[in-house]
Amino acid sequence: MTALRTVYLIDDDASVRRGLGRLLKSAGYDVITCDTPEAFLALESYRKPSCLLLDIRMPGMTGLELQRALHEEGSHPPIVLLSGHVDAATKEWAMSEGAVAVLSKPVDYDTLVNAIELGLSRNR
Amino acid sequence: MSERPAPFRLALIAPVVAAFYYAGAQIGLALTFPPATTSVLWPPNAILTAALLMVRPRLWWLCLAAALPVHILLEIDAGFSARLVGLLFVTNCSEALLAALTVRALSDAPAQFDSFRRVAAFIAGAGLFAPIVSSFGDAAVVHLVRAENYWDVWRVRVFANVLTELSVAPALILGWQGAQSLIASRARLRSVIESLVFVVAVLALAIFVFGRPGVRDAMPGTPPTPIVLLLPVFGWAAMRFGVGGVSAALLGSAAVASYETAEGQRPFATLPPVDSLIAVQMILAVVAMPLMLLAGLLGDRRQAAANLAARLRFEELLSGIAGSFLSLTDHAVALRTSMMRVSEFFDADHVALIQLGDADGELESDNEWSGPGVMSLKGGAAWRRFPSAMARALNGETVVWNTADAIPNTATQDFLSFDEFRFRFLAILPFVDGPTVRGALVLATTHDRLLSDSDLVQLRLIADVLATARARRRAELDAQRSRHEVAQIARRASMGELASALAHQLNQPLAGIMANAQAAQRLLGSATPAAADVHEGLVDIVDDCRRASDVIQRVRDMVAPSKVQMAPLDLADVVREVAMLLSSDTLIRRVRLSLEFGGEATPIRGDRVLLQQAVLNVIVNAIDAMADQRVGDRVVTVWTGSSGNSHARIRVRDHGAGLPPGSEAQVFEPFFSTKTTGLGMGLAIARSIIESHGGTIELDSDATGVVVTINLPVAEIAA
Repeated sequence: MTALRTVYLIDDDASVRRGLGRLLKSAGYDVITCDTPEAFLALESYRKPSCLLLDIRMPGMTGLELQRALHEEGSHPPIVLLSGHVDAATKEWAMSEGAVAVLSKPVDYDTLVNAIELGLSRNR
Repeated sequence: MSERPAPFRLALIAPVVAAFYYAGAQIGLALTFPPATTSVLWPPNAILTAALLMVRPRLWWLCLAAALPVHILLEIDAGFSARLVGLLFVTNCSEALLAALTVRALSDAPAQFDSFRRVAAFIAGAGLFAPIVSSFGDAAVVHLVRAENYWDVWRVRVFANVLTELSVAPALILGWQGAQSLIASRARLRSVIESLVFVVAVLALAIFVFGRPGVRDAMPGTPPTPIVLLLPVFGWAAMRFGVGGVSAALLGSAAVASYETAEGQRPFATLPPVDSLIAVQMILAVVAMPLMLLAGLLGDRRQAAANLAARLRFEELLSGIAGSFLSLTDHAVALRTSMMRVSEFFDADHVALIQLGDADGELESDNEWSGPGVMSLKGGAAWRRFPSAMARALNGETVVWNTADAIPNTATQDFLSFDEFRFRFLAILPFVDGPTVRGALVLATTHDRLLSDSDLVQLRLIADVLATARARRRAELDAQRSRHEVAQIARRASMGELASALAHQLNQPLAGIMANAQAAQRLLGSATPAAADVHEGLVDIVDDCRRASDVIQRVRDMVAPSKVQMAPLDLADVVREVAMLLSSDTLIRRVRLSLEFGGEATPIRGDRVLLQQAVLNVIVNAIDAMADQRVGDRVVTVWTGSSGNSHARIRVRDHGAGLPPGSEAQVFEPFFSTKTTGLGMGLAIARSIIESHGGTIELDSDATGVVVTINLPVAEIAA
């Protein structure tokens, strides 16, 4: 592991944040957690290379809305979306908007890491 | 006389005319004042006029021919020359012919005197025009043959004939018609008595007025010519007996006046007898004419009142029919009572509302009403035996057959059916719903019936009302159907939402558990396991497990009713209430729900709403099970009674295909379903409710259907 790669984990559920945070740290990522999309947008800058891990369903701004807001700002970070309940139409829409992957909760370690690696590879 | 005389009437015309002509001529001849040729009262011309007004023009020759021999016989006898007799017959006939022709031209019904127009036509044509014109010819004949003074003859003949036309023709025609109705015993006793009193009064007054001075002078202060005393009787005649009465009063007074004049009595003593009589005739004719017109006006009024009453009766019928569809919830009952009312109103033995065109769900039924004493036609099949009529109705045509002759030659089957059902009348009025013919109102009778234009208009209105009611009914059923669909969609949507919420609520803790467990796995597998991190992860896992369990508890609290309201109930009532709740479902899905009750009381204790829910779920399942069966076979039998061992029992039997073999044990498990729709919770919920009431629910299935048996403990009867 040469350069420390950053994963921004944005989820309103504290337990999920802690669990996934622990898992991703164990995989060697630098994990920065935010409890809302607004908190993420309030960050002064985000580091590269990085990948966003976004819960779709959150109170306030949803993951999909954050994705769109970032696109409107002209930034296109790789985004992996997470959801407890994904219907095919939402998934298709998110993919067409440029998401790296849409994963269902609870998510398996290998699936998660593969998606994040794919996202990080898009930084280049 | 009707336009179509029966043969025996035809044979009667000649002898009757001859007999009346003879009697009239005898009277006339008796009232001749020799040496004058012209009678002062000559009824034969008016008798001929009456005959010509009563028969068709095609038969006029018969009347004239019947009068000829009588005329010749009598006048030759009276000592007139053959030439004079022949010429007088021509002038007499010309008067009758002129009268009949002008009245026919002016009046809509020449032999009737019940309206102002008809009376006016008669007075103008027969009362004035014909006597005046024909008298020119008559006076010329008498002047040339007998060398009498032309204008003296003309004057006597005009007044004599004006009076006789006015007095004889209507009295004769109406008397003839009245005698016929008397023979048919349609006259009421009271009117007969009044008529007799009237006749006596007329004669008595006439004798008093025109009779011997001895009688008249017995009353002190009476003027010598109290002709005016006749006025009240004429008025009475106009009010109560119409034109016929006035005419008869006129005839009676004129006859008495003529007789008394011949006997030497005359009211105008200063005048010669003939002039005195002419003066009397003039007064009588002038008094009679306005009174006859008054009688005609009264006839108009009576007719208008009768029309109004008939219209009101029809309005009542129409509003009654329209109202019954609004007030009666049962469409079929409303239809049936409407058919009955129409049958009564139009005097029809059969009234039917039949369906035409494309099938339209359960509206596709025929309604028929057969009056008392006629053979029922047993539903709509009978009307299908009039294929030609039905085809025309389907085209929007109204079919009216008054006789078998009216049926076209090509409609052989219709003709045979008409004959077979002994119909004498058939009317079919199609009605449309939107652009297509949906059905028809059918009337049939086994007796003769003529349908007037106004009848037809009324029937069309009724057909319209029935069509509107039908359209409303269809809209109602459509609305019911779509309500049902909306409810289904809403139920499915809320279920989908619940499932989605549940997934989110449960997947959050599961995601946490998964992540923490995998993190722990990885930490423990690494070279330097950080025990503190693993511990924290495990604590989070325990918390998430609690969280998931809380979610499930919350859902259970939400779905299960918090408090059961136990109360004394009759299980049979629960079944009836459920049947009522399901009535529109069973109607739409064309399932017959047959309720059977064992007769014993079935008192239990339980929560009414919950038990309804349980029974409803079981019956809905039974209804669903028969979706693939033929409509007539979709029967659900619900038996309610006692099981005999202090349990009340409901047994629900369907006639579906049964369950797949081996699945009987699973049906009460949640989420088990043989249907493509539904959650498979129905029987599971039913079982939990029944068991919470201390009862049991069992299911048996074979290829002929499923039987679900519910047993519930009978409640102790409160002391």
